[in-house]
Amino acid sequence: MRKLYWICPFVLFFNISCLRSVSVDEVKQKLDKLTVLSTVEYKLNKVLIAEDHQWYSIGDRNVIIQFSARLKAGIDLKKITINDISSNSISITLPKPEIIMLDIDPDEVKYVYQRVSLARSDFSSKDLNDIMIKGEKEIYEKVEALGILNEASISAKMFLENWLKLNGFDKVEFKINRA
Amino acid sequence: MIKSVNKIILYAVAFLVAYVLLANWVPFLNPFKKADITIIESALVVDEIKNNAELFNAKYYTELVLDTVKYDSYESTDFSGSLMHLNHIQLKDSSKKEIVLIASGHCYAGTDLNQLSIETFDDSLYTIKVPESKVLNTVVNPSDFTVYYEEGKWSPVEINQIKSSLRARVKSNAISNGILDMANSRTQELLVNFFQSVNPNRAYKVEFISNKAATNLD
Repeated sequence: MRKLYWICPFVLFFNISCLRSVSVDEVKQKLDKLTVLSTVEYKLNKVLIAEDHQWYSIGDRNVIIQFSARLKAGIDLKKITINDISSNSISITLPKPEIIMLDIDPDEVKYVYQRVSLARSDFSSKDLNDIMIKGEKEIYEKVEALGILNEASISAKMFLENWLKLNGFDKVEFKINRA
Repeated sequence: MIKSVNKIILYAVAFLVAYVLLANWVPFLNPFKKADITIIESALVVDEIKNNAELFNAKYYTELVLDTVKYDSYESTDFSGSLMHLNHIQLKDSSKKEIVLIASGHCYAGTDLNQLSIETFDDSLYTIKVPESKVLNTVVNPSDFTVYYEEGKWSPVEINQIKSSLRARVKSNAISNGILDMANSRTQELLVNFFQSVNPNRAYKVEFISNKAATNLD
């Protein structure tokens, strides 16, 4: 046993020096132009309850994840068309509103509860990320029901009306392109 | 007799092979397939609704590979009777863990049009005053992550910290690649084009106010 004491300084050095290392490689990058006006932002909360039962194992695994997401919607300014313009009135067609982005901040993801049976292994990072992907998909599926696109359209109209009135137009008429 | 047994075995093997191949294409036929994790339906709650007027005019996209290696210290090792003990040093064993994440992230930049104002002194030139462009959002969602390799036990909190550092990396890369300059020139181009299309007789120019000054105006 005493013969092994010479290892100690190396063990000490190893513990101090190799706590964490991170390497990042950029595979691809691209800078693009956009022309989108975001007119509404929703902050959403979701609780994900996931259960995992497999035919080949005894016991199950459960996890409850709570997370917040931010959803922004608006219109593409490039697609606005001016139908008619006179000295004090203007008629414009607004494009169909669209979702600009959904943002799930990792800092706002809380793992509230986890229960894993003795015969099962813990959820891996991949398992938990797959569950979060399902949550993200659910948000996209429910966008229509939230009415965010309708809200974005109303808000865009209000904003542009104010803008155009500031520019000397008394009468502003909007049409929405549903296509 | 042997011939007919051989025939039955041959048919059975052919049937099995055909079934396995078919189950490969139609997962429904595979009784041994790993079941998907079930998500129990729950409500999506709208916490807050905000009307805004943010002009998104530049987008940066990147793909990153992040390799994180960490040495976790866990149980104390008993060094009583050793030289370390004399110095009151307690050593811990360490275990290596590693995770490789591939992430694709988006960073959006633009300006807040709610703070836009138009000024003119003699009607010949209109000055559009807007705040300088800033990063509006950095998005790296769960579907943008791929766990390529995982060794050891990583807690969800540690993974969230790694994901947050990746988001910060996407944002800093976007800034160093000139997203804000591009957003400023786009703001200039878009606003002048828009106002001139509704008021062709007027001349416009854009003047940027610093974000600090714009915040003070609020």
